[in-house]
This record gives sequence, structure tokens and C-alpha cells, in this order.
Amino acid sequence: MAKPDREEFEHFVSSAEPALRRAFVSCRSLDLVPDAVSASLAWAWEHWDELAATENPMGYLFRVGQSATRQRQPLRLPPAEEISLPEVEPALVPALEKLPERQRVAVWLVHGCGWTHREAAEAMEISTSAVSTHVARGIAAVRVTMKVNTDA
Amino acid sequence: MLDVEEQVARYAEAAGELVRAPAVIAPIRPRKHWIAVAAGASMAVAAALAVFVMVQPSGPTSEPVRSGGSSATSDPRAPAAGLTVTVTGVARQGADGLELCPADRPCAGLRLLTSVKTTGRMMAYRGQLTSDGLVLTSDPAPAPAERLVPSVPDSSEVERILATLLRIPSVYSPSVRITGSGGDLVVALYASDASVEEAVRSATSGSAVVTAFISVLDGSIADLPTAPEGEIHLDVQPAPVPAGAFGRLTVELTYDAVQGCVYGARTDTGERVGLRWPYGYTATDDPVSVRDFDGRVVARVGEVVHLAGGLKSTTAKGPCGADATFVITG
Repeated sequence: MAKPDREEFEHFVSSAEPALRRAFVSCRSLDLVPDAVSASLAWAWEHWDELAATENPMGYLFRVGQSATRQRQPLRLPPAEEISLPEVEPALVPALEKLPERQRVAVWLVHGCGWTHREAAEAMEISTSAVSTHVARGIAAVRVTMKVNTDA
Repeated sequence: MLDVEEQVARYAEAAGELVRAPAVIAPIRPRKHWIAVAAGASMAVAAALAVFVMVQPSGPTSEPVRSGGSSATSDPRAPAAGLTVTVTGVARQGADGLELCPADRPCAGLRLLTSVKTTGRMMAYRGQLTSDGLVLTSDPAPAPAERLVPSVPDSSEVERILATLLRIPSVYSPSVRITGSGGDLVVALYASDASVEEAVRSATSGSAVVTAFISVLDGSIADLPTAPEGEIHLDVQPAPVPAGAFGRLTVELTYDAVQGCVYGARTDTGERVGLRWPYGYTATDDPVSVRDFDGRVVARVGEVVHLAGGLKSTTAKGPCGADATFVITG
């Protein structure tokens, strides 16, 4: 199986690594994300031809990283205050944490990472319509939770 | 205020930046899943009984070995000529995690049966806790080398291979072990690259299987990051070792300003427990914090921490004036 040359691979990593890091935050705690990214990229190195043949390499690598790691504790996202984002309401983070995993991942990949519904669907191994449903329900649930928390 | 979708985008971007990038991205094949499996198995064993046994290649022995016995630590690269077993601590699973069994307060009735793999042959040890500490006695008939490592003719050949392996540059001896596993000769390393694997193949005439926590697929293990240094003394492992948890310990992380060291205070009795941290961990000042290899804070003084690992010493003084040392693996 052909391996990429080093320059080619480093070029790929320079764009894929930050994108995967951001994507994995949706479903892996911060200490697990680097492992998931490493596993994905190591797989990419070893299966370069196979990856090149896929239509959505990032979605495929997302699945690889998910398979290689296990989130054993309930997912805790970093508090918004910790990353100094005044434009983000603090209530957003607990609202996202409260979502079922599939809704959270769908919302995150589509709105947080800018993936298309089709790309998210391939990454999550579900249909495009299911992604649309998860995103719509997830956003609605986040709005409700944030409103409740803000009004309280 | 931004709409929810835009807030998610801003937040996801910032959260992704919070994550440390892998220290060496590629081409590295991480094997942490293997470690996780190993730790899980060890925890299952710990549910019934927890004991920490350190095995050091050294002079031959067939006599019972007592806890606190000598250990060969002067030259970790010395070729193996036999086996010395040093039992350095005992603990058992209690209702609230791991119960330490110090020398002056033994866990009465504790018995254990364990086996120790040696160079070229497997010796079974039977252990019993007595008023003198833990006593191990070898079973009378060790399995012959041929049954365990069929590709290697006898134990002297295995010892020759081990001695050769320990001379390979970059092979850190604490991370090297040869075991008979399903009839294969397995050389387990912390890290390997093409040159190390070639050296192992050459030393073993191609009969060995190399497993590594990290395999550098294109490059040298010399490129791997080296351990950082901290501001406060911390007792750490001298080399990366595979994870294995024999039990759990809950302590409050405490700083001894007089001795300038960090120890764990048992939350129930206040008893001081020395802590040996994993390779690459450091302690920094203001406030006193313990950081992992990558500089991330894993614990701060005053925090109650839950540690996985094993108890090391019941006789010698541990770090920071403690009566025992808990070797942390997770």
C-alpha cells in the first residue's frame, strides 16, 4: 500500500489536524481529543490510498478517531468563560452538554465546523435527512434550555 | 446577542483551539487503546486482590523472597543473568478503594497467588502475608523454555538476546521485556522505529515480535519530545512504562514547604503517602501544581485526587518522608 511522501502528508495534516481537533470536541473530552486526532492521522498515513478514494476524507477520519477512543465519562465541554468569549452566552455550554450525543455532534459538525449536512451524515453514518432532524431538534432544544437558564 | 447557530460556531472554533495539538502528529501510530485494555484487565484483577510486585533481572534465585528484599537498580542496562523478585508493597481492595497495608499494620489473612515471567522460563510464585511481611516461594518445577519460546532453543539464548537488546541505543531497559506469549518471543518497547526494529530482528534472528506503545513509522525515536523539567522536585518514573493499575488511592495533594516536595495525604487518616508520578510529569510553583508531559495541570495542591496505580514500598521511606510510595499510572 502506497504511503504519501512526507511533504504531501504534512500539507494534508496542516489543514486536517485543526479541523479534526474542532470536530472531536463535540464528542470527546479535551484530553481525549489529541488521541483521536493522532489515531485518525496515523490511519491516514497507513491507508493513504484508501483515504484518497473516499469522497469525504474528513468524515472518514472522524469515524476512525471515534472508533479508536472511548468517552467513558459524561462529556464536559470547556466553559465559555474559560475561553473568554463575551459574545457567547454562558448558558450555551450546559445546553450543548445536555443534548443527546447525536444531536450535539450534528449541531457541532454543521454549525460549529461548517460541514454540509451530507458531510456530517457520512461522518455519523446516518442519512442526510436524519442529520437535518438532529440539527433542527438540537438547535431548538438549545434555545429552550438557554432561555430557561437565562430567565431563571 | 448572536443567534444560537453563530454562537455555536464561535464557541466551537475557540474550543478547538483549546485542545493541545498532538506533540508529534505523524507518522506515529498511537497504541493507547492497547494500554487502556491492559489497564482494564488489571483493574479487574485488583477487584479481588491488589499487590504490586517489581521484577528486576539480576542474580539467580530459587529461595523464597521476602518483601523489602534487594533489588538490582544500580545499572538498568546490565545484562540479565537470572531473576530477583522484590515485593515492595502490599494492598488489598477495600470498601473505599485500595487499602494500604503498611508494615506495622498488615492486612491480616491476605494471600496471593501470582506468576512472574522471567527471561526464558516462567516461574510460578505463591505468596503469603506473614508477620514478617510477604513471602514468595517459587513452585518447584519451572516450565521449560522450549514450551514457552519454541523459536529460541534455551534460556541462555534468551539471555544472550536480552543482553544484546539492552545494548541497542535508544532502547530504554525499563521498557524492555521478553515474555513467552502464545509461544512467541515478544519484545515490548515503549517506542520503536525502523532502526530499532531492525536491530531487534537482527538480535533475535527474526524470531521476535516487536510491540511498541509508539511506533515511529517514518523517522527516528530521537525525534520524540524529551521530558520537561519542573520548578519543584517531583518523584517521577525514569522512563515511560506501560500503564497498569493495581488499585486506586484517594489523597489530598499536599506540599511540604520544608522539604520542597509534594505528597498525598490520605483523606481519612491524614497519613502521608509518597507519590511517584509518570514519566515527564513536573511540579510548578505559585500555586503548586502538578503538570503532565505536555504541561497541562493535572492536579493542584489542596485538591482531592483519585489515583490509579500500585503501592511500592512498605519498608523503605518513600519520597517526601512518607512511609509508602504509590506509583501512579493513571
